[in-house]
Amino acid sequence: MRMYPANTQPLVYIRIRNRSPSTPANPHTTTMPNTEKNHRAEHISNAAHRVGIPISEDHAQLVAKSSDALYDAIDTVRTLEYQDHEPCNVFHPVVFADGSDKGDDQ
Amino acid sequence: MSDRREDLAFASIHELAPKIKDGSVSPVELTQIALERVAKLDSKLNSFLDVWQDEALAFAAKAEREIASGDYKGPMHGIPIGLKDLVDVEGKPTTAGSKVLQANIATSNATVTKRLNRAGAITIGKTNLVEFALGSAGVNPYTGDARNPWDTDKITGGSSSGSGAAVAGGLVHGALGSDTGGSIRMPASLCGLAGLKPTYGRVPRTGVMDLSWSKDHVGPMTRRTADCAHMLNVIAGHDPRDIASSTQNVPDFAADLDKGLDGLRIGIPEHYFFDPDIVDPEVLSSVNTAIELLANNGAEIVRIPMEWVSQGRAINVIISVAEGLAVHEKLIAEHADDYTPAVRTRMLTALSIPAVDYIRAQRARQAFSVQMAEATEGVDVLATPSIPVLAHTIEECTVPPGEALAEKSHEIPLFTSIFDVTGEPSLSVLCGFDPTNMPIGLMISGHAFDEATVLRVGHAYEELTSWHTKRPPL
Repeated sequence: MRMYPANTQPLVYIRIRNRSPSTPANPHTTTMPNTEKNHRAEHISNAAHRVGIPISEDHAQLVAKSSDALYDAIDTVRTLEYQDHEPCNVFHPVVFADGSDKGDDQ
Repeated sequence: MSDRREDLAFASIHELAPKIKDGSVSPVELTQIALERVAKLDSKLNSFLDVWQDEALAFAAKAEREIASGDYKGPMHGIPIGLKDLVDVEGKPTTAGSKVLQANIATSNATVTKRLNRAGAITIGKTNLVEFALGSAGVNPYTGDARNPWDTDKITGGSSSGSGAAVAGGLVHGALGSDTGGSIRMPASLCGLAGLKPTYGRVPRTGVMDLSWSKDHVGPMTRRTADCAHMLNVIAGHDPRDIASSTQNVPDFAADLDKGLDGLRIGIPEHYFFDPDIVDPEVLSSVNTAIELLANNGAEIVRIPMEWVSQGRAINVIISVAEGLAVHEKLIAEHADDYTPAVRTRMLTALSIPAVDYIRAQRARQAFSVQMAEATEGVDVLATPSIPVLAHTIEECTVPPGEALAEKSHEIPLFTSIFDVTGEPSLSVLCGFDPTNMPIGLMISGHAFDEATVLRVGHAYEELTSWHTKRPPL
């Protein structure tokens, strides 16, 4: 069973460039110096203030310390290679079988 | 509780339905049993946040009268159920397990509530959950942790923690959960249930608190796969008020349950899902035994290389927290101190995501979904473990205030989240127990809008085994 029509090229086609197993996804998460964590915390604090979310300096540090998995994820997605000549409809990102890229919800 | 009443408490919807229809089982008695079990056991399980005894009994009496007069509405008629407390019921609180919404009273019914009411299901109350459904272990320091009926020191899995505990404990016969990274299938796996995440768009989310607009799914949690089919028959179908709601035809999901495994091709990923560096040996052993059983009973097994598949987890993480913070931006700005510390911290990690990385994740998701479709083109379903690890203790997964988020919880959704990214239907069924008597789940995932085949395989597996007949030691 195909999830898009056989005669249609997929919008984008992912080819993932796997990292070498010896290279961590984000070297900062295992060896990141405090200055980098402080930089992250400062960024989080600034971003919070811009959108009106109250956050203390200590809590920004805690959020920074809790962000390793997210930073890994961001780095991983940045390594993905795919043909990107077609735009993505971020409001209908789920690709389904009915010939639509919109989950058949028109 | 007498043996008969306990047998009724643990009976499946599939078994009960014909007996309710012919009058040999009473919806009032079933509801009384459910309420008795809540009163007796929920101090241990903490599975319900709110129970509506009088309304439930009145609704059950009404169902009994309707059935006696020949107005039988189908297999959910007269069945006691619970709703995860992010599903609106008019006039009742929807707290999403948070102090932030402690005074939030729903002004109308969610679409799924209306449909269950119309089908004659007896909703006895709202089930516990991880605050705002953001967490995989099932802990919630505000409402108190739901506890696993198989061992009350262990996590239920989340975020539909109370739904998992309530169904596994025989308090209700089914419950609704929601699934954004695995929140139906993780508690289903850890509590020994059948839990179905339907195709994205199959079940409308109108009146259900959002977590991640492009990945939220609502679905059933029951003790048997057939029961998921009966619940899905009631809740599936288009609702124009949910922008993602599908107009696809809704089949009878129970129609193919007994067709068996002959002619079905089951894909087994060669990468990630069976990696011994990721998956506990007990989980591997149980799932491999289950696959062998499927193969020995008519299914053809097809190995599928998927060296790219682990990347789905990274895509899921970015989209979940970015959309989660977008949903919560106003609430968290106004009520930051009312969020539990771990959920607030997890939400705020999204402040680290540049817009371009969110868009990149959504673009990668489209490519990932196409690649999954191509890889699985020649099979009917994939069979994998539901979660890679055995049940942690609640203590191991509890984050003390002021500490960074627990790594233990990050392992749990590694596999389930892949199918939230693709939007494909995915079911967890009980496939064994570890040496400490904790359940292990087999995940069966299929093609978009083909829940019927997923349910058919799950039901066929259950018919070949007796795991589902075991009851937790409460």
